[in-house]
Amino acid sequence: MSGDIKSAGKKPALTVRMKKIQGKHVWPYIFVLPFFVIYLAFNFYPIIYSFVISLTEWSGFGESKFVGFANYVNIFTKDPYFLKSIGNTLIFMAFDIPIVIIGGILLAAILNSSLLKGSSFLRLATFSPYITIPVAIGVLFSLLFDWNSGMINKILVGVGAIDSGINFLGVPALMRVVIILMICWKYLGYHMIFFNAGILGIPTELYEAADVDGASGFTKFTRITIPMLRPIIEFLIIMNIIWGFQLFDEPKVLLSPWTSASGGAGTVGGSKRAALTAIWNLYDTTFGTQMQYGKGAAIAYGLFIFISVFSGVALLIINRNKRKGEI
Amino acid sequence: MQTRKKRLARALSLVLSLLMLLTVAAGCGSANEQDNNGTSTPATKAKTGNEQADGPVPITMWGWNAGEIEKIVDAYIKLTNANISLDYVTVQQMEAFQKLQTTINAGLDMPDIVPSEINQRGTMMSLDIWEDLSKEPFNFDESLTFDYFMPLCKNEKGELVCLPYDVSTAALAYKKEMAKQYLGTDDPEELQKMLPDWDTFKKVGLGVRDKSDGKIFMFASLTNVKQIIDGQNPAPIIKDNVLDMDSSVRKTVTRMVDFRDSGIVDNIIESSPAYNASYAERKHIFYPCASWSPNYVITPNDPDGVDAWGLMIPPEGCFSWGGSGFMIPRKALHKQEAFNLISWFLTEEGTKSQRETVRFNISNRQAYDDPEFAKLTEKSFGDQNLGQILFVEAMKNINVRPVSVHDVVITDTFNLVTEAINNDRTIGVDGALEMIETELRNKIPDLK
Repeated sequence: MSGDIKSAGKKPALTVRMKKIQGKHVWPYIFVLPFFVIYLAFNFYPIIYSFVISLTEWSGFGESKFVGFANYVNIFTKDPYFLKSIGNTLIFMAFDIPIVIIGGILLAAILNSSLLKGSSFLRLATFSPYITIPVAIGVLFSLLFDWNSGMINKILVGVGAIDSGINFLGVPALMRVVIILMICWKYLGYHMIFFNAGILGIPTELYEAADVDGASGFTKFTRITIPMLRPIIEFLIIMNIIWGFQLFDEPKVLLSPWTSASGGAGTVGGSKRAALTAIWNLYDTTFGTQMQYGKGAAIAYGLFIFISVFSGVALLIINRNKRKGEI
Repeated sequence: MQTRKKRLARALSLVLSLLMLLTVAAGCGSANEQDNNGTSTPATKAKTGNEQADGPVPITMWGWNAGEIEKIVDAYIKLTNANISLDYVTVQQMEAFQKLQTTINAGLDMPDIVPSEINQRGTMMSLDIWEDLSKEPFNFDESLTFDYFMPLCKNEKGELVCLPYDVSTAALAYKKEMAKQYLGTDDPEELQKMLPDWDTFKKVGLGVRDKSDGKIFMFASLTNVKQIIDGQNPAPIIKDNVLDMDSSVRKTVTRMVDFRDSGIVDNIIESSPAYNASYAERKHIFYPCASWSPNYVITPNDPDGVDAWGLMIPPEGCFSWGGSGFMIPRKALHKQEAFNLISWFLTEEGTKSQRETVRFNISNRQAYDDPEFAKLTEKSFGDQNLGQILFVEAMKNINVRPVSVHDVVITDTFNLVTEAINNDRTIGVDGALEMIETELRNKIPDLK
């Protein structure tokens, strides 16, 4: 009896809702449907399927074998390259994120100075490395820093600073410095553009009021410009963490034998794997020397965990500082 | 009237939305129309039948030298009246395996001919997707080509799944002027007598180093040492999943470390611009030289070096370096036509035609019985008959390491260790061997 009352009470409401959907409300759903179909087919499905693959042992050929979480246990406890590649990536990020953020702000501030002539040209010149393709950048830096014929070594030997060439791309520490330099050179202008837009959006009244109060240029920069750029800084830090974990093209091209006469493959991750980034390791495990789809998918999920944790921690720190600032 | 217009607009919107969805869904359809055994479905058969009725059979071939292969196929069609056309897909050497992997996983049509470079061949051949070309209906006659190719073309079951292409024998090229200045002669036979083994080679190298105040080197790169000494050693590194370093890599690594410490090898990375430039410089005497090197490496890198180079048998004999092969997937659509083409490459007619058309040295054995054909000259080497060493002397005792399923990992490991020995002078033989073992065991967990 009570059931009947319940269903009798629900039915009209459901019919009304269905009618609403069938009526004019159906059109928005139809129009957004293509996006969701594409998302489900090309994003959601591969994400789920990758997880399924990560639970298998599969070379990409033939039948796969279900191994449960063995691939996850392997990458976190046995495989020396997963954590090493994460470590390498964190080293690159630890240096390049502060450099591009601080450098970008300083560059934007300098290029917005009324004292500087030709700022438009300088802005374009600083931004142009960003639109250069990674392959060209890798080749350019490999030509600059080659042990035997690199321009940098030739200059250093020429001016008498060193007797023989420095093995920039063979000594792990130097190789990392070159990669950090390459990333900063490419992305500094890109960050400058963000900060430039932010600076242009700061109301001039704030600076005028500070002038009236007798504030110095440095005080205006630290007390007005930096706080007003805070949302952009926060956004770029989070994005840099995500981009940092995706680092692959530039170090791979830098350390690949693009002129090999014998078609040599080069060394994955450079000398002693010191430049093996997280994505390079993922690529090599899945499609390169190992061809292990299951382990590669597990690396992808492991990487996802690292990106989530680091982005989450960064967000927490930013929000905590924000709350402190509001108090 | 208003309602009708509204309905029309709704119907039109619905049709457009459905069309958009259909466009997306169309991309998800499988292009694979074959069953698991690789036999053609009726649809495929009908397609093939139509192609044969309407025109030439399109052979899909992967590779990295479109220009030359197109000329060769033109010659093939002209000489044999074969009713085929070539659909050539450019795939970089190092990407052939990945492309194969993604093609299979995406369920796309397999090509009819897949190229295989020596560094990847063992791993590629281990896949159970290739036709055994020694069996029906192909019945390839192994005697058409040189015996040394067989360990490089048969998989672990002994099936002939790859047909060899170009001759891969290699010797030692040297700069004549430097040899005369530092070794006292530029005659190949005298140099061979002077350098019968690697111990003597080192002693002579030390003399050159002292005479030149350490400015002249026997080799430009440690990779050269690895290439030759490892190439001379037929002992498998991994056999039946057992790692055997003592009879395989130990000798190579020992020589590499010894030559580095003796200062007779320069530190240039083989793949660097400096290495290519070194061919034209007068700083390094010897280079490994395969049958493809004079035409494709030495002359382009030393264009002014006319009659500046000589070729000799290396200490302890010739070796195999590089060389291509071709394989036919079981699921290929035009297997017989593909086989006809790649087996024609290895006929006397095909081999001679390719020398004439593109200057390739293909591997039909009978063709080289003709002394005139076995003669190979190159302007960098003056009038020296390079073929006498590469096609005659080398064939007498060349011994190659059979390809292995782990070749891709082994190649990467050797690259890593070679680079480490080159970059870090503190790494000795034991350190290098430990590095090889650690790397191999990490990447091949079930290794014994």
